[in-house]
Amino acid sequence: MAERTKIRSALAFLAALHAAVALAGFLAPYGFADQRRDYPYAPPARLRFLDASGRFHLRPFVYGLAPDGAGGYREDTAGAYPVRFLFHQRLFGVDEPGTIFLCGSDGYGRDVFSRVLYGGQTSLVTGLAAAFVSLSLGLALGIAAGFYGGWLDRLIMRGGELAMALPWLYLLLAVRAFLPLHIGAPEAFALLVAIIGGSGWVRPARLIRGVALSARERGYVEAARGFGASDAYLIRRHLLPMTLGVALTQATVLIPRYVLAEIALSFLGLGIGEPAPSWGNMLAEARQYHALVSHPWMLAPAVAAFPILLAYLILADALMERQREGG
Amino acid sequence: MADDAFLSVRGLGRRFPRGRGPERTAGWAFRGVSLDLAQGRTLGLVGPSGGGKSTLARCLALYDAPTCGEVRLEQRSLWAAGRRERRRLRAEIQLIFQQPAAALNPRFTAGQIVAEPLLIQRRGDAESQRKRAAELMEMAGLPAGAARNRALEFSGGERQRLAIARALALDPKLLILDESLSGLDVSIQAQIVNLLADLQERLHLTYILISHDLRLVAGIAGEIAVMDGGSIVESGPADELLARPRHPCTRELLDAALALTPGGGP
Amino acid sequence: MKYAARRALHSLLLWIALSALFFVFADLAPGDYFSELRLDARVSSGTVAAMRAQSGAGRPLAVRYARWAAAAVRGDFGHSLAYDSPVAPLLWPRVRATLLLTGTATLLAWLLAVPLGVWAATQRGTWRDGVLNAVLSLLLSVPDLLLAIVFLVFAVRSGLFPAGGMTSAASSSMNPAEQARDIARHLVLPVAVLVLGMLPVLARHVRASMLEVIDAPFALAARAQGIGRRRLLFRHLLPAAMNPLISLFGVSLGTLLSASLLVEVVMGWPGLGPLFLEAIMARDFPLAVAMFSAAFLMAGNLAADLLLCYFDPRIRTG
Repeated sequence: MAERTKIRSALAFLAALHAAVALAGFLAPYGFADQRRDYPYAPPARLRFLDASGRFHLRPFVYGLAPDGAGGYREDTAGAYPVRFLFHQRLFGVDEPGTIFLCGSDGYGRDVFSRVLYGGQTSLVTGLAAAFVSLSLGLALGIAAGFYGGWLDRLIMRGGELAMALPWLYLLLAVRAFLPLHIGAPEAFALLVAIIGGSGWVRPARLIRGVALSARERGYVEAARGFGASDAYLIRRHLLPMTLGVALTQATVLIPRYVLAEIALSFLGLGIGEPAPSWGNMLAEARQYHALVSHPWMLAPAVAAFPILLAYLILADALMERQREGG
Repeated sequence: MADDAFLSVRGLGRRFPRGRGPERTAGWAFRGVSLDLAQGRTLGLVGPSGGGKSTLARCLALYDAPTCGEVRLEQRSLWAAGRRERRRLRAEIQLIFQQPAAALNPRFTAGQIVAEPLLIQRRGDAESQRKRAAELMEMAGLPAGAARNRALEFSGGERQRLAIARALALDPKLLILDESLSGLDVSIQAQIVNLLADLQERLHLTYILISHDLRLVAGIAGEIAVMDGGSIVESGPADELLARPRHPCTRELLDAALALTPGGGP
Repeated sequence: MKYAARRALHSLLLWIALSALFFVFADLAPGDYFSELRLDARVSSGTVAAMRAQSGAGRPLAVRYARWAAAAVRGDFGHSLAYDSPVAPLLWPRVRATLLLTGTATLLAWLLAVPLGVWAATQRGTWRDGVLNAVLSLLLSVPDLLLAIVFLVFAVRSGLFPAGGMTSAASSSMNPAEQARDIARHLVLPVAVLVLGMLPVLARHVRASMLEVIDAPFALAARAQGIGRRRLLFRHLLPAAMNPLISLFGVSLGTLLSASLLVEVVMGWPGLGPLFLEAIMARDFPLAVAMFSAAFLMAGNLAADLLLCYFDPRIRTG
């Protein structure tokens, strides 16, 4: 029962986070490429309810920003900008020339909060799509190995063992090395998904092979074969439904790992390029750590990844526990 | 032996896959098996476990290919047939397994289980398949409303009835029951035996009943073949064989059966 | 020993296959070092053509691979285009640095993970086990990258640790003992990141495999004979729990090198990772393939297999 509550709450939490990222176009106050060149590295905005004279406002407002002369900013109490809701088809915003950078701005004066939301689309979709690729490969190879056995089984499993011992990031970089350095965002995305997804099929394939192996010995599979069923029928009607539980559990293990892989690759400059944001290429700016020391809000994308990874981990643990108990 | 027999088996043998199998049979699961069976009759195939009965059943039902020999059903050679012909022959011979519970997919409903052979052989549309499944379940003595229940919800006897209903879906002529009655309560065993006799009469079925229990087989089978060490050691009409067993193996089986029969033992 | 020889042969064959694939793909790939170079206005096109001819890029693929492989077996990995130097002297210090980093991290992580996992297994179901599990889960969800960056910021802000690199600028003028202390100071943060990344995975595995054996019949029997706790743990439970852990060790080497690459890049540790990345960005192919081979051979499951062979007599005979 405890597992069930865990699974439900983790699922609900993940659904909310994914929805927030999917709705970036509405929730983010700025577009991902909108620049305010006059406000580079602005600190996170402070929402205020009390004005200079101590009066309370129900509608929060922000002060304008003015250079403090030392490379940073100070709040300019002369200009107050109330937060407007449902503003220019977005959830909230403030009138020009005011700015509302909830998580500060980057070196080009782009809103980090908005970019984290938009970047999440890239990172999460990469994770989901790559997990889909891995699981499809894992299902196909695992079922082929378990169901047909023999030399095919040995070939697939030996290949998998070797693939597992390889340092995957080196492998990804090596594959990426053969392709042109500068490619468009759609190509880069497709490539990223193919590389990450193609590298992680081994574990799901092994587990699914185990299920297929036991299925082959089941009486009902034998019986269906006796009625003249083709391999395709046996796989579709009997094997696939049996492997579904394992495949789903593996998805919850793979997705967070692949989100991390996207972050790593884009961080190294081999993923999605600017100006399209992803959590990885946003963090790449943090490689100049002297900038980071004075602008810690640039870490926002990594911080945003944390709750998602944790929720997936809890979900995966609970699912595995349930599978172990249910046999 | 008549050449126009319904089922005729000649010199059938099967080797174990390389490097397996007991040494005393020199790597053969069974060899040199010949037998004839007329339509509408029941053959009891008895013998100690490990005697090659189940492998023989699998060869007769087109699961495993024999290494040598020939099987003919109504003059048609089973293993010489082409792919399409074999698919048709496959429908005419049905094997019911040792453990019916394992032979039913727990994810399927009873209706789906019984209709599966029709789906595989693409006979009729979904509606007619459903109707036929209901008909078959009724024939096997299952309640009409059970079609929606999952296999796990049935008792042992009902599962056996489900397996029989499914085996009948393709209108087979020969039914091979491999230890299908073992592991059931005696009263349920009797019910299933009655069902089988009933079906034999209605559908003109031929049975091969495989068991290690001579007593069980004796009540149903007209002829009995005793199998030990991979070959048939003795065969003949049931009453004759039971009255004058010649082979030591048959005697042993008979003693064991008598010891189990209430009042038959010392 | 036959088993070990077979695995070594496997590793060798795989390395040949991978490096050959590397060559074929590199041949098919658009753009090479020279085409990147041609974009540089300071280098004349005549120079580029001459360099290309000198490097032997015009010869057939099979010839180039055969020459490269033959040289590689003798320890000569070719000539780096970007550094205009043989690859081997570039490679070895990098391998040493990466081995120092990953070796230290692995040792520390296992030294922490085994007692933690065993302790958690003995406390199963109590609040202590729950708290430890929660902490490990939290740690597992923190991206290594975030840890590395945060530690670096901490180093810069606090000044307690050097901010990146492996040695101080003044290292060459130090005596050996001071040099060692200098390197150790530089090691602390990258090792800490790697250990924190590995620890939760390892500790969870140790706990799980201890739980498998803690209630096994042989353990109950030993306990029924009144065996001491310490003896039970070291003579019975740990050896039995060790097997799955050793194969985990083999698999985790690959992951460890990957994590190490990120940490090296972020922290400026002069290991294989940054040079590999640089070689790829510059399309310096001979350097890249050498780096890849080195990383692969380090992670190769040979070591783990030898260990497993030592611990599990079933494999030795098989």
